[in-house]
Amino acid sequence: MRKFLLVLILILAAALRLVALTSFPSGFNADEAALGYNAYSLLLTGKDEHGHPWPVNLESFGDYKPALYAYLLIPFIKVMGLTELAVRLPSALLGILSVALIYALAKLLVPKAKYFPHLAALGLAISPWAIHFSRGGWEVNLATTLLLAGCWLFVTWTRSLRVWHLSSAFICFVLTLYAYQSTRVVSPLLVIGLLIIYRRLVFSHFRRFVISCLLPVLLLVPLVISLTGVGVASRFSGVGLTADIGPVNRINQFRGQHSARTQLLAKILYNRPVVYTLKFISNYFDHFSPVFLFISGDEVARNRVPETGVLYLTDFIFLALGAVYLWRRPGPHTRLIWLWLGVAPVASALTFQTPSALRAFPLVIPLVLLIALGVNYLLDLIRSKKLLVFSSIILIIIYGYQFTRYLHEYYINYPAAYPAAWEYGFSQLVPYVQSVQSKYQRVLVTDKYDQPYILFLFFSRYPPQDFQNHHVLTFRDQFNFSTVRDYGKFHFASTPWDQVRDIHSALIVAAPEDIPSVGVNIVKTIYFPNGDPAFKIISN
Amino acid sequence: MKKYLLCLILISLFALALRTIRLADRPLGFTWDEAALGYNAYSLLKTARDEHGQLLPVIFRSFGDYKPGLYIYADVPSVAVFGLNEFATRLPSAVFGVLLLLTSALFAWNFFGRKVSLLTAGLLAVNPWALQFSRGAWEANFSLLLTLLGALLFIRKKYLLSAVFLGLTFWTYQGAKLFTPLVILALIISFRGFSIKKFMAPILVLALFLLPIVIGFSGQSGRLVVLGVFSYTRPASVIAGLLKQERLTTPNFYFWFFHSELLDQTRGVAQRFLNHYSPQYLFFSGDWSDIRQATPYFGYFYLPEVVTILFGLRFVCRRFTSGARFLLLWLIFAVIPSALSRDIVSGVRSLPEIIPLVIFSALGFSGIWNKKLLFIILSGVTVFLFVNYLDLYYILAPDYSAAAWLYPYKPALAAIKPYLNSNTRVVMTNALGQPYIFVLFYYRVDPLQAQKQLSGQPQNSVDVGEVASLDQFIFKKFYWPAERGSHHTIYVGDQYELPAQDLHQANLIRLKDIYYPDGTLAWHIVELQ
Repeated sequence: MRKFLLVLILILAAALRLVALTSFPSGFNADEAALGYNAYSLLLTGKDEHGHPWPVNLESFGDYKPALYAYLLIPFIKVMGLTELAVRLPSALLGILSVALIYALAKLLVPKAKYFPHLAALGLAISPWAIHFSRGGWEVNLATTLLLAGCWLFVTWTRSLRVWHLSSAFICFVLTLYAYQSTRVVSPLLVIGLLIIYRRLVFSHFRRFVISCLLPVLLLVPLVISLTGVGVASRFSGVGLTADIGPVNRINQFRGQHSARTQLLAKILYNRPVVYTLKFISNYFDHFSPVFLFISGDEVARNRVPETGVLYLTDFIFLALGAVYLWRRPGPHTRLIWLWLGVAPVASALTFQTPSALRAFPLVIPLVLLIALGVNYLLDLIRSKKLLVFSSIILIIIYGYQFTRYLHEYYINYPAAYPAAWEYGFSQLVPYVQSVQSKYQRVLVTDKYDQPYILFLFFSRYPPQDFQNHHVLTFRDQFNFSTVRDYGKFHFASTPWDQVRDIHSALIVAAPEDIPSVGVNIVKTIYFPNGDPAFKIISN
Repeated sequence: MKKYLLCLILISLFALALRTIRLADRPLGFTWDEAALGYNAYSLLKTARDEHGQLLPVIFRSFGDYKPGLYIYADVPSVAVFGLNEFATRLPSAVFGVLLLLTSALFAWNFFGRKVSLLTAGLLAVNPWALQFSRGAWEANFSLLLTLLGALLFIRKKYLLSAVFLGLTFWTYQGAKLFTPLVILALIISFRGFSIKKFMAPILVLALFLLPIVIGFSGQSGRLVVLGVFSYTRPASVIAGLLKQERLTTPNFYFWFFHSELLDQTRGVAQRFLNHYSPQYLFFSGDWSDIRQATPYFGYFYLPEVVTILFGLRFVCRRFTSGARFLLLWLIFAVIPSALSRDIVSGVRSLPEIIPLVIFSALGFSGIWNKKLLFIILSGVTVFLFVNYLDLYYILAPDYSAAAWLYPYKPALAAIKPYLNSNTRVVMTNALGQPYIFVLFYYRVDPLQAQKQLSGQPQNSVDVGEVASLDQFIFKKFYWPAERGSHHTIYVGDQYELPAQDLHQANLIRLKDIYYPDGTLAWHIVELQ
């Protein structure tokens, strides 16, 4: 019976993550295209798009993405070709796997809670946060599934004490370092925390512990070597906390408002260390803000669904109940939940754009665990059978409504409200351009939508060997991102009409607002699903 | 015991000092509510009637917001001793803040012992939220004191006295109408073991207190409509946008199922409710929607208290005594009046939330008392942030909040005074709201005169109205091209009503320019001879 329920939940999770995977989210964004194209490039040539052989980090847009997801894509692309489905499928499958893993982990964490494992699995299966980041080529999903696997294996080791359990746990944690930037901060913190919590066990079996570390440490070597390179630090200076100069302006303003007598006081109170530490703590707690969690989620359109938080609205009740349960009945393994809850937002708090549903995604696991515990606690507290059935029906109705509404918002309102969030349009644009480009000397494409060059490379399956040494990566902008402006006969730049009208023998793919509607030879217009124009294609 | 009392007295004196030093000009400015409270007290003192001539009212018509007036009665002795000024108007609230500290200490002693009691007192003495609403004539502070006293008396089984204090809250603050019944509910749920017979007299007392409220309710319900969250629905443009997303031209059942107004209102209420527990609200910014209700760039609690409050919450969840139950219910109920109001978040309406949180914080500090290193670190950071708070409050805040605290009235009226004589008129802008009450307050107009002049004016709106003229003053937003032909008139207006480039007539004298503390222009004052 238990297994049967779990299988049902897994089927539900699979349906929610796999159905219409290529059409929803509607579009295909530049990061997905970059991962796919770099995997394709590695598959065919053993080098990434810019010509680096078997890198640990993909240079890509100058953001040096950790490359594990791209390596994972290689077999999928070999089998399915360079398609959107190939890029998105691994993440969806990992999402389904994490539902199974959270079930296993929950069973170990609080064995006494009867309904808890199934509730945790169901909670993760239908969680808006989890569904959103399983649908799409998200590296963070890979990292989180690995974290989940690592924790499950670690807790298993605390009971079985077998070396290979601990070793595989550490291997999973090491792999998370290759999967995503923010887990490079979160995983070490998590591991250190685990070692502190279970220090007695570790010390009493120290020899086995050391043996378990051998292979994982070996796996760290490529990463350590890559850290000596240029890339990683640049990412931090682009999106890191200190890139925000607001606090510095405020320091100067505050100091200026003090007289000469009180300048010393002002210097002690208002200085970079103090102000940026407070900003970091403020960013950290942004991830526990109710508006982010329950009402409207992230601000970035790619990471949110309209009128929905990262969790369901009523989850706050069960989140509180779950915390109360853990306080009243702590178990030998429940500190793991608090640890994970505490470290998950740290990496995101170091950036200046908080709260981030993307960078803090690992936070979904302890939250779902707490919510499941809360529901379990409520059901536990109810003694009478009749009241139990009644409450369960009420719960099913309330959550059924919210779940249905979430699906409606995801499939109907999301593409209509934020049509450009996933850069819809290139899958139609690129084949069309390919079919007519031989008639023109050059093709000019607007850079209104993020990194158009990679989308063209992806959808046209441009041969990597032709691209690798025949393009230029621009200088970094203020966020430390670069792009490619030219390859082949393509040029990617902004397309205001007065600048492009004089370029002849060219096919111009322009942003719709740049182009007047009369006096222009528009050969095709590509529309968003909601009817707004995405591209206007002009033959000059 | 003696040591405990000594500590408590010292903490109270410290708290009193923190609440009364520079009370007149920090916060810098004076709101129209404060001016109304002070002037009506002065009017009661001199004539036993309010500004509109009502004899010893319970509910004061004031601006048409029909405030319950117990604070005004508390103001009377203060104004009698110190005169009609900002200090005297604000002093009762400062004293109530100290009394609140003592009552909370007593409350904490009752359930958690002396150490927690002293810690509660100490934390409340320096707490930014408590300080914000002790410094300024806030009725909510008084109401919270009375509510807590009433609750404490109930817990000590003095039901009749408890009913008196709880009944008085209805005469003190609008929000008490919703919060006090909730407190009574919380008391009944948490502390069982009493007989209905004992409740007869107290219930009668409560009903007596409610009588004046109920009688005047229909005239006063305008405020409820303006402030309630349910009066505000989504504008048509939002609904049109949603219809476009659904590819519908008119709403059908399917549309309402997913996008109903009820759902939107529910989300709105939930958002308001949860906002009051958000870390941003409690520890980083306080009430971000209203500058007057928080100190800029600071929260309502000190940052280390996030740790101690969580510790205290954990303690209370594990030892679920009746006191714990009551505090948790209070914590939830305190936010309900704010959740049902129009504003997305409100520091004054949710002020009762401070009591359980400060007690949890005290429990937390008490719990880590023995973990010396952690205790020293948290206390050290708290002291640092306390100094930071004082700096922000006394030195920096006026630059950011003086405009919200209606700073220009006092200097402007002081500047005009020497030029007033029997045949000058004054035209003053009402852009900052209710200028008439400031004229009454700062010029200490004789209440009999004021009552005569105000009684002629009709109540011209459902909620808060405006007084158009008072004696030689006219209050309006004026248009300079139409006004510049007048004579023997003083004009007080902002940079749009009195544009600087247009003030060069022969008969125009620039009396004074009023600037905000941060250097921006507030008002020009000119005289046309």
